[in-house]
Amino acid sequence: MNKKELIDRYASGETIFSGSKLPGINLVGADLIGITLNEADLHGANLLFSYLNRAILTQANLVGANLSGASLNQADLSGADLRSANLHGVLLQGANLRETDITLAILLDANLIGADLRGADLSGANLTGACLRGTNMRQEKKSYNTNLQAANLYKADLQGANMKGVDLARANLSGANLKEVNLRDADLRKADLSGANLKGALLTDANLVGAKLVGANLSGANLVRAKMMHTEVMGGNFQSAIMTHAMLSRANLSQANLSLARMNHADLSRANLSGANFVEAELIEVFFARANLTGADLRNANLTRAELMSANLTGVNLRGAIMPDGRVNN
Amino acid sequence: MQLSASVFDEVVQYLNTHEETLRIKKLIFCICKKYWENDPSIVNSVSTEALIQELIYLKPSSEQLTFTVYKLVKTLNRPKVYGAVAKVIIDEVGKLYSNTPATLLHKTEFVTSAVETKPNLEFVEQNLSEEQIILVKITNDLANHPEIERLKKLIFATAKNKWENNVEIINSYGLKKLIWTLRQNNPTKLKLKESLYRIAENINKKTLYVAIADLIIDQMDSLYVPINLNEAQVYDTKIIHVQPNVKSSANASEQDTLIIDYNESQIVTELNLVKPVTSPPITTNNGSKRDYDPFELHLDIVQFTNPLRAKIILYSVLFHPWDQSGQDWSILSSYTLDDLLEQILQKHCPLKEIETRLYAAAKLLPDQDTSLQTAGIIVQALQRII
Repeated sequence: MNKKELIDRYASGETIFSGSKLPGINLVGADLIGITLNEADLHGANLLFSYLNRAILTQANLVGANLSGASLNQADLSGADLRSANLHGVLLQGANLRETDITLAILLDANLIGADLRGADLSGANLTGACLRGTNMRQEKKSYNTNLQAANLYKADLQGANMKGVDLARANLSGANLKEVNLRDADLRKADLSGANLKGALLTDANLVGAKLVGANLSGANLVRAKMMHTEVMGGNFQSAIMTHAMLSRANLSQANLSLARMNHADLSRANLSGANFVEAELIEVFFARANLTGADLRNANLTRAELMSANLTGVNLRGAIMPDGRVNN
Repeated sequence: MQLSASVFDEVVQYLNTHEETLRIKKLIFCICKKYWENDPSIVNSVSTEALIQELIYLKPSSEQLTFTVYKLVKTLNRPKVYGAVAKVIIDEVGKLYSNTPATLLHKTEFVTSAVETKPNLEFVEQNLSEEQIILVKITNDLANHPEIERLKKLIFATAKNKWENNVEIINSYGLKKLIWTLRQNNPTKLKLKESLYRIAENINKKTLYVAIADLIIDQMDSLYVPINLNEAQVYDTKIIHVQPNVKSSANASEQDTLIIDYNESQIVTELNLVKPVTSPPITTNNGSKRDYDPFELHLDIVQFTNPLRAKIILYSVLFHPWDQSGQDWSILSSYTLDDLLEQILQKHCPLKEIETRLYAAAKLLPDQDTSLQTAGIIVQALQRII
């Protein structure tokens, strides 16, 4: 089928074109709202600025297609193959992208607000500046999760997204908006979260081993049992964060703000905590073995039963702190 | 691309020992890393070899190289100085695009004007003068413009001093030739503007033709980039970049912006010459000084309109009218919507002026109604923060 035939048939009221062979077709700016193209072959097609709102594109082959600026709001692309497609500035608001293969695609400045991305593979995709507010990437089964490995989410907006169990290993999330995002159980190993805003984010049981969080805002975040060994969090803001049982051994938290944080039972062994602010932090039974607390501010902190014996306490301010033996330091 | 090792080494060595090595590296660095870096220690942390290799990889043809280098130079506040530096880069790195024998090397010395080597069919591209290459590029870009007929009519009328409605007659002259006539009849950019406006303002579709005149002026801009090498030596003051969008951050992953208002840069240069400044007043922008939430502004736009169309309109206002060329697409991909919005806001123009410019840009786009709607959404969003 060629372009003319498709346009003519659609104009005469026909909407179902399931399984059509349309590789490389040029449909720039075409109005095909609500069209059914499930299992169609559209690889390499040019769909620049086309209107495909509510289109059914399930299992379609869109490998290498140009969908820049296309309107795909509420379209169903579940199971479609969008590998290496160009989706620059695409509109996918409320679209169904479940189990869609979007690896290595360009999604620069794309609008994915409220899209369903459960089980989608976005590894290596470029999502710089994309808006993913309220997207659903929630892991439902152990072996079924959204893959964002090594994806570029620089300055992306993910506020309020459900990213439970998402694989974000080695992803670039620097400068991203991750306010109130659910990253429970997420794999963030070696991810770059420098300067990211994670205020109020849920990171319970998340794996942040080797991640970079320099200058990140984690105030009020929940990091219970988070694995943060070897993380770089210089100058990070953890004010009022809940970090009980967090594993922070060998992490670099120098100059970090941990005031009012609840860190009971956390492991801070061998961590670099120089110049960190722990004012009024709850540090009950925290493990500080060989931690470097040079110049740290621990005023009014609660250090009941904390292990401080082998820590470097040079220049530490402990005024008003409850010491490991229960005494208040005057 | 297979590079001849000896030629490559020779080019690297020549650039490394050139008296303007730092400026040469700064220019190449900016093309490769997409941001301007003034700190010599950062620029020098990357070897010239690595930079040239990256440059060749990014710009696979000598034409692309020439165009990109001059396009960048135009945006700097010292185009004259960097014009000379650009020429050295194009001449030297240009050799790597062919198997030009090493005997042809170093045809341009910094103080002497370019001497063209004899044309050799195999190396025509390399031996074309920069002006010819730029001319071909401009002709191609204009030829793809949706308003090509009106463009041709205005160029013809200005070049030949008579109005011609028959496009076939205009075509018989050739667009390239007409542009060249226009360039030769108008030795300065100001003169070109006067000539085009004189015709455009006397046509019944005045507004449209003035916009077309602006487009021609903009496109022909690179033909007016001064590459007078002797002039470059007049300046012994330090290059002072007062580019509002340039970050001094070493983070190469940030897709940074460095386009500055051409008129503003001229003023800056003049001021600097009168009063040499000892330390460069680099206006850095670390992103934290914004008095608005960029994510909210972004959301206000993408929620209600097409983000790509919004980018195209902003691009047209900031740089030049959108002509859908490959170059335009690739430049657009190097900016985020956020970058473009930030640039607009940094101009500190009144909202009314931004509005006028956005609507004017939208009107020139193929899908006018949709584009006007998008322009309206941008204005609405900006209204909340200006």
